[in-house]
Amino acid sequence: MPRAGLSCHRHKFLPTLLLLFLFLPGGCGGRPAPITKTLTAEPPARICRVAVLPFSCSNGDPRLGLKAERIFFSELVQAHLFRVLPEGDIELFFYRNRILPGTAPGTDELRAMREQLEIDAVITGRINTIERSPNGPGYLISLELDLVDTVSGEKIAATFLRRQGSDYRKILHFGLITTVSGLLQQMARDIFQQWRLRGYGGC
Amino acid sequence: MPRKFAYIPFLIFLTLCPALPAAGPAVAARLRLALIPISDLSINYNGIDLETTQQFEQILKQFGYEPAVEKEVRKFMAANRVFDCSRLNAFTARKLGRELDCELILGATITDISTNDRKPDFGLALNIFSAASGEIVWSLHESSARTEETTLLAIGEPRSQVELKQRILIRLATRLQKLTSGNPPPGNRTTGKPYEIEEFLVKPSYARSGTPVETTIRIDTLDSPPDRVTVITGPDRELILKPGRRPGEFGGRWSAPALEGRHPLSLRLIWKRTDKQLVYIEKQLASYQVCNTPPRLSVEFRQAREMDGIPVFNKQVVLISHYSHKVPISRWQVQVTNRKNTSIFKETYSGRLPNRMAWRGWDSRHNLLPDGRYIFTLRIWDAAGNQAEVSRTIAIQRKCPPLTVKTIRKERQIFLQIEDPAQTGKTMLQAWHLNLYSPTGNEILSRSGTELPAEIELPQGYKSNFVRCELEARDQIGNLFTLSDERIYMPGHDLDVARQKTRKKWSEDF
Repeated sequence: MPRAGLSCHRHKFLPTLLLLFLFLPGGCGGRPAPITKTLTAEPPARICRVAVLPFSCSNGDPRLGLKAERIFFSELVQAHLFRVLPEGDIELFFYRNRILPGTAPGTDELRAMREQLEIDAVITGRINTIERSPNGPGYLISLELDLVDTVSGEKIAATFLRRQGSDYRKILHFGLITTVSGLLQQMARDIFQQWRLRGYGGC
Repeated sequence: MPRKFAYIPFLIFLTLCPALPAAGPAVAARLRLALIPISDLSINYNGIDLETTQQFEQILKQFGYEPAVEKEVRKFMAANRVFDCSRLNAFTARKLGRELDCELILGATITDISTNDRKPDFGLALNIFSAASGEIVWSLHESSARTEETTLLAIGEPRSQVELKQRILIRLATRLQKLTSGNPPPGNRTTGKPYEIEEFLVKPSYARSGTPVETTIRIDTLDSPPDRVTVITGPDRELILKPGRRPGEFGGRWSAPALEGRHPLSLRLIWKRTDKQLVYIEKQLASYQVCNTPPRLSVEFRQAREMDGIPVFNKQVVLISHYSHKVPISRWQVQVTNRKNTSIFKETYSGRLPNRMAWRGWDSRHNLLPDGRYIFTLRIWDAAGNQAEVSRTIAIQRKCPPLTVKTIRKERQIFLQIEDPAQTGKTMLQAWHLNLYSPTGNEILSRSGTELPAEIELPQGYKSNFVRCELEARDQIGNLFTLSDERIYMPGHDLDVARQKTRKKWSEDF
């Protein structure tokens, strides 16, 4: 009787174990978190409305920076961290104030943004590396994302993240990301999740 | 089936799940929306993919949405200078929603697209604007590749770019349907301003007190343009702007105040209604700076030797300019005049003054100017029109002053005397070197020195009636003077005249 009882117990948990093995996010455990540094003592809770500025790219391709900006924009709206200003309002501000596209706004421009667009911070990004992944299919991307205060022009937070498509592989091909936009999307999710944990947004 | 294998069908279902075709769209309530032509950054910076736009529009129709007529959307875009979804701001979204009677505005960007049909990939970021508030209320992003869509036995795998694109668009439409079903688009029509300041141009950006300042404003409105627009130029100063040629355009002109510094400009927009008047104030939308202080300027001359307080050069003089300014430098001018105050070189440039510039002693036609003294003037103007000027006398000296060599007798000794007849050598000569040879070519003596006049004693008992002389002298600027194989006759000889002779020109031989 005791043997039968034990056997029954093993069969009961086998499917559960198998399911866990298949569908647990395999990369989750070993994947390092984004490196985020909080650079000011300002309380992050007061940041409610932000604008995402076009990202710069180390390879000098403005279209890649724009693509990354739009993906991060989309993920930021979905994350409900902040209220995000439409890209068109930023374009109009740049045009009205005669700031060349791609120029990083200075402290005066940031203050004018705050006055005219009523934003608390801007998000700027820079893609440092984008190349074919050395470990299998997909890409390797490293980027920096900064949250800049529009009052002082200082960085509130700076995040660095380096990922490749295979980092998100769960098992077999599941979870593997082979597209640039897919990888950027996941990276954006990782960063915004960490920002949320650190207490940013949510006002 | 035994109970212990009951989980196997479930596992198979989960494995095949991605391969299953999308379930038929549940028809949503007829929500009217406008789809802005989809941006495709793979084409170019302002690329648009009309084919995908039409495809997505069809899918949205299948999902029960009512997209606005494409022609009307494009007409609106052309009229409002919206090239793609990135130019769509909150106000334009509201205006679009109002004009085309939409509740949602969709702006999308293709973030990934493959040109290789064997390895398809596709990504689309979709921003959903509320037509009521003009704000982005939802945003969706979907991207995938064939390698990410791999299924067991390759059932239902996308085989081409078209299939994958269709799948992604359906996924987006499904997600959109989930968001909109049961949830009315957030946003309140009463929020937001009924206008947008499209342009606020202030000319000039920098002005001197009393000079005219102009402004041109272009306002886009949801309804009628404002009845009165005033620009607030100071604490107690307000100017009513006149309507321009085009609707929504206003302009005005005033004199810059005496107070130096940045002057912010605010706008007051007034709509007169029968019962009340609507007043909106746009604070510190633009600014201009008043500056009456001219920039400070000084010039340093390099590659020139200072002689009696005047920089002297032979090949070129390098000018290092130092200036401090409150407002940017707008233009600068270099002028060279001769002693008669006639301008012989004048060039004006716009923009920043370079830190270094070189002048090779040319006139305006690129002819070399003769040796002599000139007055060099550098003028700069800042953006406000304040001028600074610095003038200095400079001298061009491309030749070493000619030297003379003669023999003199003092008591019983014969000396060779080297002189600078122009008396300029006292300060300009750097060094000289003399070699004397007998008529047969034997070296008699060799001397060097730094000062003139110089006397060199000839060896006692020298019998010949002349010596062959080779003299080389260099002035402090670097010019060289040479006498080669010159005959210097002894005192009392018929040809006892020291001849000043430089190298023959090659043309003299003909």
